[in-house]
Amino acid sequence: MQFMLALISLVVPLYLDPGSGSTLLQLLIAGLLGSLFLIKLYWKKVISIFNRSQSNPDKNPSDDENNHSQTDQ
Amino acid sequence: MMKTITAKPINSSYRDPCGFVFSTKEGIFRQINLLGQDNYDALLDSGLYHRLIEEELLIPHQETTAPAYLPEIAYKVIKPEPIPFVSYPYEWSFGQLKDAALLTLEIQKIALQYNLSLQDASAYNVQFHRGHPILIDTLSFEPYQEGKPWVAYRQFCQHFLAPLILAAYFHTHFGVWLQHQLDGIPIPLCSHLLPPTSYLNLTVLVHIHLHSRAIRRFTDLPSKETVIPGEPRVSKTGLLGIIDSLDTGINKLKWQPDSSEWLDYEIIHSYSPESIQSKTALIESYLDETQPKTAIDIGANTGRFSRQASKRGAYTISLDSDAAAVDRNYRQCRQDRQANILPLVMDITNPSPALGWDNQENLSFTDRSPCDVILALALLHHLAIGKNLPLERIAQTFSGMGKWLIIEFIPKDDRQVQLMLSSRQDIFASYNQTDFEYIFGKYFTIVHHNQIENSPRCLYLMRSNHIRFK
Repeated sequence: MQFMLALISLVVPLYLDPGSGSTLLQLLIAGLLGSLFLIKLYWKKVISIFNRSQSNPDKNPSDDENNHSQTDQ
Repeated sequence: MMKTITAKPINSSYRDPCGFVFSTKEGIFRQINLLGQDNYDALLDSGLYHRLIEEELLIPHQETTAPAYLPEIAYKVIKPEPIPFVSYPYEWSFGQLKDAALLTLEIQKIALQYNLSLQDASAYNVQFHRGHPILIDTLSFEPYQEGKPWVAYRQFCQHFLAPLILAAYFHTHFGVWLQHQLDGIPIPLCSHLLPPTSYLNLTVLVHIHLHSRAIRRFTDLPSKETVIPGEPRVSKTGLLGIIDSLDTGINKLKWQPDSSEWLDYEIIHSYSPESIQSKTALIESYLDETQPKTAIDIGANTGRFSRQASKRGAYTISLDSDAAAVDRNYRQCRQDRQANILPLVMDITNPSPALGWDNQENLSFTDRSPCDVILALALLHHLAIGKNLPLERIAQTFSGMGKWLIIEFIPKDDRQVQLMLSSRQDIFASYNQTDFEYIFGKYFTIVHHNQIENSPRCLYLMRSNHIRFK
C-alpha cells in the first residue's frame, strides 16, 4: 500500500493540504472501483434482460416495438 | 437595501463564503453572496434543483425581495421552506444516520448527471423533514470538473461512514462520539478501533483502513516533497465507482444493539387491556382539549403515544434514551409515512448541550424545546426514583418546556416502582400522590386528574404557570 501511494505521489501533481491523503486515495481506488461499477452495471443489464425473457417466455420480442408504436399514436 | 434591525445571522452558518443563513421575525433566510452566484445559477439553470425538489431530496426555496443581511456582498436572498425542529446527527438513531448518508450519496450521483458535484458532505446539512431526510444546504453544489476527485470524500467518511461502521461493529450508538467530534470521527481513529476481521470487508478495507494509511502517510509531508506539476485525474466512472462502493457498503451495514432495556417494554409492561384502553382514551381526550400544534413525548419508547399526538396534527418530537427503541420508532414512521413525528435519541436527564464555537453553533435541547404539550407517560418514577431527581426540579423544568403537561403518576405500590426499590433503600418519602400534587401545583394549574381503569396509576392534565406561556 505504502509503495503504491508513494508511486502516486511521484506521478500526481497536487498541492497537498490536510485532505491530501483522501484525495490521493481516490486516485488510487478510482480505477478499481470504477471498473467494478461498470461490471455491476452491465451485469444488472444482463440480469434484467434475462428476467424479462423469463417472465414473458411466449412474448414475441417485436411486441415491445408494437406496444411502443401504439402508445405513441 | 438595509438590513432589518431584528435580523441576525445563524451562528452555525459561517463556513461557506458563498452564503449564509440569517433569521428575522419573518423567518429564516439564506443570503447568496456574489461569490456564490455562479454555483447557485448553475444549480437552477442545469435543472438539478427541479429534479431534486421533485424527488424531495433538497429543501425547496423561494427567491425573495427581503433585505439582505450583508447587502454589499449579496447576490440574492432566498427563503427555504421552514424546518419545524432542527436536530443533530448525534441525536439520530442508526437508521436515521444511514438514511442521511444514502441521501447524500444519491444527491451526489444525480448531481454528477447534471455536471455538478457536492462541495461538502456534512451530516449537519441534512435534516428530517416531512418524515424523511432532506438536504438543507442549497449552496452545497459546485460545477463538476472532469478529473477532479470528490472534495467532500473525507468529510463524508468522517461524518457518516465511520460512525455507522463503528456502531455496526460494536453494537452501540454513535451519539457520544459525534457529540465530541463535531467534524466527524477521524478515519485513523476509526481504523485503529476496528478489529482485524474488518479488513475482510471491502468497504471498510478501502474507505477506512486504506484511507487511514493514506491520511497518515501524506498529511504531514512537506508539500515540496510531494507536489508535482500536472492535474490529478479521477474519471467520472471512477468517481461513480467510489460513490457506488460507499452506497453498497452503507446499504449492507446492519445495527444489532447488544441489549435494549425498553424494546420489550411494550410487550411486558404492566397494563391490562382495559387499563391501556383507558389510558389511551384519557390521553386522546386531553389532546382534544389542548389542540397542540407541537408536542414532545419524553421517554416515548417506540412512539405509541407520540402517534396519538401526531394523528391530531401535532408535530411531535419522540424522545427516548434507548437508541434501539428510537430506531424502531423511526423505521415504523418511515414505513407508515408518518410525516410529523421526529424520533430522536435523547436522555432527558442529560439532554444535548450547546456545542461548537462560543457554544452557539449547535443549540442545546432546552433552547429548542418549548412546545405546546409535553407527554411524560410512565416516566416520573424513572426520574424521581431511578435518578434521584427531586419532584420540585422536575416540575420546574417541565413547566418551562411546554404550555401543557400530560403526566402519569405511578404510586410506590406499583409493580415497576417496587422493582426499582427492591435493590435500594427507599429514601423517597415525598414520592407520593399528595406531595406530587402539591409540588406540581406550584408550577402548574392542575386541570384534570383521572384514575386509569384497572390500575393504580393516574393521569394528569396540567397547564404551565411559567411566564413564557402566559
